[in-house]
Amino acid sequence: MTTHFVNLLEELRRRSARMASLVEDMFQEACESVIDTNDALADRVIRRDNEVDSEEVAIESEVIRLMALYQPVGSDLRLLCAILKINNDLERIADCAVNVAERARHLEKDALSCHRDTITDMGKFVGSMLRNAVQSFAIEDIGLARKAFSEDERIDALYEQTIKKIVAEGATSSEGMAARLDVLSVAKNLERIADHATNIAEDVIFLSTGEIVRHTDNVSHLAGG
Amino acid sequence: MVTMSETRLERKSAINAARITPRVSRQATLHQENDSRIVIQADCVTIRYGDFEAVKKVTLDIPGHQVTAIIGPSGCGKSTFLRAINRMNDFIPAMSISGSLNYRGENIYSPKSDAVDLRRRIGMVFQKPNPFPKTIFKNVAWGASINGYRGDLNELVENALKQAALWGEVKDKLDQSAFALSGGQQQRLCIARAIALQPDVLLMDEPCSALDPIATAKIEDLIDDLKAHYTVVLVTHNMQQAARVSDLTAFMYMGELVEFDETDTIFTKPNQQRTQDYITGRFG
Repeated sequence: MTTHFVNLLEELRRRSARMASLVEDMFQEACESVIDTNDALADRVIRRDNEVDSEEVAIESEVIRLMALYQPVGSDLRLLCAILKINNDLERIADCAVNVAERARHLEKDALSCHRDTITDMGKFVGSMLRNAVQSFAIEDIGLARKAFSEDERIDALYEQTIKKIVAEGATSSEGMAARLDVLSVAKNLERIADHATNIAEDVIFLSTGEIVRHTDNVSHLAGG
Repeated sequence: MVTMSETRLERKSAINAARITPRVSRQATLHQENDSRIVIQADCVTIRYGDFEAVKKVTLDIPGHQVTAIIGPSGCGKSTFLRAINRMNDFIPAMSISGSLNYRGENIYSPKSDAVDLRRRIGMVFQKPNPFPKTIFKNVAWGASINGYRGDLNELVENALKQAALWGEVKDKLDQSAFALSGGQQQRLCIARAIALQPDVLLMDEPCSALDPIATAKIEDLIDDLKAHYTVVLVTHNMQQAARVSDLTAFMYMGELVEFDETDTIFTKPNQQRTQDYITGRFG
């Protein structure tokens, strides 16, 4: 019975890691679709959301089933709780990626010109953070989870910078306001993805240590290593 | 040496007092406030059956008015340790014990210690319900009667049966044989019989292993209520049961005490790998 349960648990962990990988791909393609204003890529991201949604439900159902049938404790309980919470964050990241892709379809070719560098940088940093968070879950590595924390402040700063720039542009000219709002929406969604990646990193800390570091000073402590 | 730090115990006591206050009388609450100190203290206790060491240098403090569960695989020494607390092992000729095992500061194995009086203060409930072949009333009244109890026996029996959550089911058939009761009722009758002697500590050795899930749930509810009045030490194979009913859990393996901590810590983030492996069913 125990071997059977351990196998089911490992299969679920792999399934969750596969979903994380799918969501990471969606994120990368969503960023590319904005930066290159590539409608075809944006459509592909939007289409893949259904796959993530059904996988989210399937994983959640399996977590509930295993909890009900095996009443896990200790590290098994922590793994199932982490999978359940990470599952939710992954689905939300996919939703944000879809939002970014939808903005990409609205954007005209030149609309991004003066924000391209900021959005590219944000995409790069968020991508690195998400990769570290997802990888930290896949191999249960606290060091990578800490690295993910450390990138959040830089992303917040870039987001603030984008807002200020857009507000300043709006003050000098009312033309292109719709495009600026699209850019703002992209930046906002990237910032939200970083927040979800932080949640995933926090869940990896819980998975590994049993400590809940959310809303505590421990997060900054952990971020510092 | 595995002991709970004083700060942790104080914190646990405070949490526990807050949790049970609504259910206990003021007298019981005051009793509890004055009595959350260590009741059973084991220091480097080793128990041998001939040359075989069943319990190896166990050191732990069992606080008052808490439920302390002892878990571990078969043969880990948990029942031997439990039975040592009220000297039930004295009946085994080859048994020897070293180290110190104290009850409220007094050495349980001192030559001056009266084993009969000790067992009155530290009662025991066994794995299989073992009522006497007598009426329900006499089962509960028996211990008090032979100990020269001079109070109102009817009142004593009623109170004990009420505390054991059995009164409502048996009040109209007190003169019937205890064997007419179901297994779960018989076990609660045995708890009432132990309670009637007004003990300080209740030792329970797998009290639910012979019961169905509904009877088990009733005993578990009862254990939760009993800690307002008694210190409960529970040996169980059923880890879910330990998780549900106890405040503290000790994990024993091959005679050693591996880990002793608050129950929620043991079942969510144990410190020792062997505990982790046992509670998740990787061995044992």
